[in-house]
Amino acid sequence: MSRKSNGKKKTCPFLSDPQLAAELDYKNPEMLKRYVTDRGRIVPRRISGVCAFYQRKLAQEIKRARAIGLLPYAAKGV
Amino acid sequence: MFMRKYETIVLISPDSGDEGVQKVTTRLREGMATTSAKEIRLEDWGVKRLAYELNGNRRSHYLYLLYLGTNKTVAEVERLMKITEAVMKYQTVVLEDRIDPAQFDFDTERRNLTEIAKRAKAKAEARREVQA
Repeated sequence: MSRKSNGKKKTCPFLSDPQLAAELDYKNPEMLKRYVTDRGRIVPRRISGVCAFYQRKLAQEIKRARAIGLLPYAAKGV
Repeated sequence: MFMRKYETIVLISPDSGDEGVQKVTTRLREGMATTSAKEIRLEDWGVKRLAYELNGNRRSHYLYLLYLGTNKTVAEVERLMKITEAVMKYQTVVLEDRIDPAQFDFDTERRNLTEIAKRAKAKAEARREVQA
C-alpha cells in the first residue's frame, strides 16, 4: 500500500511556469515568501514539489535575501 | 578588456539621514572611478522595514548599485563601505561574466529598473502629491 495521500504527482511550479522562474530573485521577497514557513524556514521540496534544480536556486536566493534583511532568518525554537 | 557585471546593495542606518546617503553615494562613485568601473545605474529604494533587527534598527535605507567592473572594483567598493560609518551591511553579487564594455547596451539597462525601485519611486511621488 502506498503511503501517499493520493496518486497525484506534484509538478515543479518553476518548470511549468517560465514567468515564475524569471521572477526567482533575492530582490523579490514577496515571491520567495511562498517558499518559506511562517517561522522563516525554507519549505522542503517534498512539500512544495519544487524540482532539485530550482530548489538549489531557491535556497541560494532565500539566503541572499536574508543577508540583506529582506527575509527573516529562522526563528529559534522548535 | 572583459569585465563582470556586479550589483551591490548597501544598507544605511536610518539615523544618518540624507547626509549619510549622500556620503555613501559619493564613496560608491569614488570606488568605481579609481578602478575605472562603469556605472550602469544607482537606485535609491528609500527606507524599508528590515526582517530582523540590525544594530538596534528595525528599518534601513537601501541603495542599489549596478555596474561593470573587475575584482579590484569590488574590493575597493567594499573597503570604502567598511570604513563608512553610516553603512550597516552590504552585499555584492556577480550577475554576468566576460562582458565587453564596448558592446554593452547601457541605455536599455539604465532604464530597466528593479521592481523595488519602481515601487519606491511611485511611493515617493504619491507623497510629493499629498504635500503639494
